[in-house]
Amino acid sequence: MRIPLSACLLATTFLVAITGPQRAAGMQLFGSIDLGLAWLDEDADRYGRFSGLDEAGASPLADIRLERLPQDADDWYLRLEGTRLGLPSRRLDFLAERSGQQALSLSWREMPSWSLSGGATPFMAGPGGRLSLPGDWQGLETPAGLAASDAELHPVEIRSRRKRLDLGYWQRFRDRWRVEIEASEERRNGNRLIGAIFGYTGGNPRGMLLPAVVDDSTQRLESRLTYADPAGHQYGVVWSGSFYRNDRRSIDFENPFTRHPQWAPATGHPDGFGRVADYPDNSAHQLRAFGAWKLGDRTRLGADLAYGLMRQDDLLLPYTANDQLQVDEPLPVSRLDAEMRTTVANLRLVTQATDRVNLVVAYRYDDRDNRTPSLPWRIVGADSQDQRPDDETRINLPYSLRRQKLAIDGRWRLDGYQRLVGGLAFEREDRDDFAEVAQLDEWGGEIGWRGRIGSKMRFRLDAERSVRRFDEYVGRAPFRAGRLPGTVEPEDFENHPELRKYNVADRDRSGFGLRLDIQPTSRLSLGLGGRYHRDDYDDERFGLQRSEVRTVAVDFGWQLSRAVTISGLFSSDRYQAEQSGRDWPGFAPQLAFDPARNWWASHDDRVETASASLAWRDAAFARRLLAALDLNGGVDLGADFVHVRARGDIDVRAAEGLTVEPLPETFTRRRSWAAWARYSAPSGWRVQLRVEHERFRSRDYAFEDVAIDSVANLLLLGRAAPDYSVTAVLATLGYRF
Amino acid sequence: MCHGENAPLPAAGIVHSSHAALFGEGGQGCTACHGPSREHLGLAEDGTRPLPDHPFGPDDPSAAINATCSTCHAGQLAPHWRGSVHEFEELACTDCHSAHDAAGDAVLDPSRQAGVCFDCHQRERAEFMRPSRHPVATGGFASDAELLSCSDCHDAHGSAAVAELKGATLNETCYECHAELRGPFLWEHAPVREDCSTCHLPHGAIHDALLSQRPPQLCQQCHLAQYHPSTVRSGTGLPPLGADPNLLGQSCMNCHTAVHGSNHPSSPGFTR
Repeated sequence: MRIPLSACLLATTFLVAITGPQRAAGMQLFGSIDLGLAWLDEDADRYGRFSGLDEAGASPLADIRLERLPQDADDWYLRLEGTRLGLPSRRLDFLAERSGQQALSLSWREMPSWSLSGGATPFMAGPGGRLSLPGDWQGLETPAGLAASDAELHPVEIRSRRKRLDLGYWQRFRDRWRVEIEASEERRNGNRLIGAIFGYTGGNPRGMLLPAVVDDSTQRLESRLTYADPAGHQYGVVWSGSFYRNDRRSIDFENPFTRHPQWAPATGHPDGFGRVADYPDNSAHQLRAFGAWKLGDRTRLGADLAYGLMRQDDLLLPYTANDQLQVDEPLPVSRLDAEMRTTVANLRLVTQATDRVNLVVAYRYDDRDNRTPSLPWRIVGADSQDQRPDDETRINLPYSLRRQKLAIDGRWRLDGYQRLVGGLAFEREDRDDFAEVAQLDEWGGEIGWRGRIGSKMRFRLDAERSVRRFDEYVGRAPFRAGRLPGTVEPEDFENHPELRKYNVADRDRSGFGLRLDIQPTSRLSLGLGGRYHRDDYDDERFGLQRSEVRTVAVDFGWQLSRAVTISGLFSSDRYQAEQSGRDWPGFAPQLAFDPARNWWASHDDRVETASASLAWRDAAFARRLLAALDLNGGVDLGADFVHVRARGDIDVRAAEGLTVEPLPETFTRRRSWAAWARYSAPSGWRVQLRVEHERFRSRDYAFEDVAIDSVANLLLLGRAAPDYSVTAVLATLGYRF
Repeated sequence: MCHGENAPLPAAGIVHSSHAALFGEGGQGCTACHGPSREHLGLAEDGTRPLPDHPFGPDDPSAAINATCSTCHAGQLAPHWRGSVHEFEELACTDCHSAHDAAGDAVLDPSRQAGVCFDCHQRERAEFMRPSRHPVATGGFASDAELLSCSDCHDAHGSAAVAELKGATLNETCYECHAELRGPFLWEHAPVREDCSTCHLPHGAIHDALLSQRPPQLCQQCHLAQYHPSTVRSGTGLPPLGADPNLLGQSCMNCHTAVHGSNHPSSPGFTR
């Protein structure tokens, strides 16, 4: 058990004790306390990846709720609520509120996140956080044979936990004004999986996966002043700040590989070290002003302007962690002084043009102005080689983007039951000259029909269509801008000239959806929905050529009786995409123009989801059964079921110049069920029992039959895809007062 | 008691909220929202009980319901409500909020809020059940800790951003929890800086890390340079035929670990 059960018991006993006299004095105090245990029959990290309920054996459960009701309009409403207090996903909330006048809130949250386990690594966190190898580590030429050797390997668990404290206060004053302050601090501890490389050896670097320590924090502060009058006018100003802090500037690691002939001396094991930059400190400020004005009886104008500043000025790491490497030219600056200025403006006019027609006209301006200096950097290749020559200098490119969108949407009431909706939009994106596309325009429209058929059926139909076009695609623009003038020839390129990146490519988008809600009886509701969405790109070019999404969903809710309710959902989603490329080895650049080396990949991802829930309040048969045992009170029963099956296929094909083999299907299946019962005695005592079972299977070729040493020059973890079956029993005893 | 805890239309739970002040000394009680409703206190000639003045029923116009709530909550109504998706779809406050629930208003309770949203957003409910997802509970299971709720990212009352997101932009919403990725970095990955959803699905995905497609093919949709970026990746790279580092382990991220941006002076390729 991670948290001593005695601590939970002590806390809740204390709560009962302090509230007892108040209840005796007749105060409006209500609440409940539930204490118990959860038991798992085996470790199942993934089952409890967000709850922390992941270790075989028992874990404490504790939930509390305590509330004091106000005696009059000026009195305070108080509530203290704690959930899962015995688990790493615990939460404690406190609220004190004077209705409509002021409120104070405090919240403590712990959020675990499990990523993976089952792998192994020779690395351990050593002094100063450096990832060290065992003392008797023999340098590897390649990882081959490592799994079978007696080298010291440690099991790896990748997990982290966030702990967050939120404070909030608001107060209304002079009837129309309101001030709000929110502050939070979030700490994150644990580790994360990173890749790291050592050496550029003519296309054969050595690499490894590392469990990097995570220990950072984010503070946030927001203050807000708003005004609202009965006429419908609203104004407000908001300042918000966010401050990310990370004391670790880098993730340093010992090189597990022996020196490669192409590496500089003293860079192989045991002398060489590698370094990956950790996340730098950063801050963001935003000042926002907004207002909403009523212009006559039928029109309202809203405006929102936000100006922000994102800064990052952490001390830069040196070019390399290895002092032995020859570095002739120092860093151009010791701190980057990176800065992004953001401006977001929204104008929205809402008007009821006639009794039947409503219109919304909106304009949005979103500018990310990256003012980070663009500087030359003479890099050191992965801590293994001397500084590169001047003609291989790289220049950082601070990307900026400006988006503008003008949209008009309308709603036309045909009659009391039917509405037509529709809209037109134009969006323009402007990027820097060093981006592939400097200007991108998109025209779009949508139309919908909503209505009722009789009193038992509602429907909704939607269709959309948009066309996006760039002015010019210059694929080599970022490549050229990222190098010193004169060091690349005009005809040089990095990405293939025929590639079109899908986020800035020409695109024709279309989609339509249908939703039908039927209520044949007052106790039964049925929903049926479908959606089709398609993006078409230029299929004469390389890159993404087409993507499609098809969704069909059915859901229902059925109140069998006053006590029994069943609900369920089935959803089938299919994501398909087509992409193409040309295999183009560097040793023969002329092959970039050889169509015999074309390849295509067809993606076909399918997900089927089914879930159902049964809730039976105060089951009559159980009440009779208990009565026979001389027990009064009611029993609530319930059951939940979830089935999710996801499959992913990538069909790879190639022209005659290449050889390909099929990729196996990836597969995930989760099947979970739960049954629960709750007995509530008239005296306030209650007992809850819950049984859950989850079977999870997955197949993923990235991990299947892949050991720590399966890949030449790459040290993996040798973990398997998750596959488990776990049963959990949860029992609590509670008292409600 | 017609509206007691176990009655067909329970309303006594309203006292378990700050609305309880309406029932304290000097409060207007039920009539504060439902109107004087004098006829509701008696029976009609046919023996039926007339509805209160403002019953907040499904046939009541949403504008009328919202106007009643606004008499007290006007200051809390977001300035972007007018013209927002929910307003445009003519939702009433009572479509989501429940003032009578003994356990409090579910939509204000982080552990129950998603259940209310999923009543209409069934597709999102299914998305949150996928193998890779954000920790929003879909209901029922003890393992399913409700660490996040819909309102952590979205503002149901309207916002100035796409999809009614709370931040000024999609990325700024993501940075609320992922502030380490905010930068600006020395080496920027342009699409990351512009829009997280270029590669990630926000609710749930079948691929790890909420990726919309599987790497390396996802990466190859934008990276088709000489050497390894353009190489066709197929079963020839899997055991026993081969062992392609771009297909195994973390795929491209085995080496390109800093795809969200890097501050290492020697990392233009996001490897450090």
